[in-house]
Amino acid sequence: MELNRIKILADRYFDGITSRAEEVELREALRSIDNLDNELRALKTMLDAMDSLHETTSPVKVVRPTISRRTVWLARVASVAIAACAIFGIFLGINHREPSIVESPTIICHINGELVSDQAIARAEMDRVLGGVADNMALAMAKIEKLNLVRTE
Amino acid sequence: MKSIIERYTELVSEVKDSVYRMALSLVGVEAEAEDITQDIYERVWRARDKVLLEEHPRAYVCRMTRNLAIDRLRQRERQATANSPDIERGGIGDGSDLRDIGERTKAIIATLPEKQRLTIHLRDVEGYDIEEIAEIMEMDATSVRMNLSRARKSVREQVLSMMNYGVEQN
Repeated sequence: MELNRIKILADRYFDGITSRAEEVELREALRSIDNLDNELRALKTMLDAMDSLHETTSPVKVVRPTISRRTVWLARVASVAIAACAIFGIFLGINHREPSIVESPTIICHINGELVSDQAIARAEMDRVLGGVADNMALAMAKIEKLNLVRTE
Repeated sequence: MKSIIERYTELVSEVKDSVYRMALSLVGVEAEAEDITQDIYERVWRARDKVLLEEHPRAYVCRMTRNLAIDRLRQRERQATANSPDIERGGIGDGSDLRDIGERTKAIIATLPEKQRLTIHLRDVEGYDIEEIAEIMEMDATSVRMNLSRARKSVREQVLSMMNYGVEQN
């Protein structure tokens, strides 16, 4: 690589505007040239120090976490409790739901102030009342006819 | 589909070295960096439901590390001020424990101001993108580039100064 290109990259590097690809290019270029001036040698020293720092590894091992038996036991108990509550709720819902309109006894009429839901009783009562009305009507008609006869005479 | 334990283990395995190096870069003491790394594993596990849903979980863990390391650093500085003025970060010093110019360069990086140190570490050591660094450091990309430029130029000046004083490179 031309020394001129290296110097341009070095200037960009110190201005903090190099891309990752340019920094890789710069590192490789500096490694490939032996006779570097002081400034580029300083840069190479810096980059070598950074690379050396990158080789440091963590002595702290990663331990795969485990969920404790107590937590598992608590989770199971909680699951069973939730299921039991759900079943109990459904049971309560079925047994205490509001009776539907279809199932409630149908009120047909009142007889002497009392509710009557039996159709036979209601029909008998209706027959009795209508019979009474018919009798009264017949009596009334008979009286009207009698009055008409008296008037014509 | 992977279980939450598998996803956690994968994430932590991926970032463990990065977390340790970042903590070491900030606090400068290996034992403390190990302690922070362990602490981060636990914190990530405790916050797994949130961390694993993040768009950039790696950057999120790095931000956690940065915040924790800075907290520890501040705590140590307060204790040092209160108890003993002798505790200080590793500097260039007289060079008696620094093997070569490379080691001295690492020491120079360690003496940079906090933001510059973290920026140069994340970019040049860890290889993060500027946008990721901005997310980790909770600043915009322009500020990241500015800190990065200052950090690099500062290190260069000190390395040049060291070289001009005739420190031998092994």
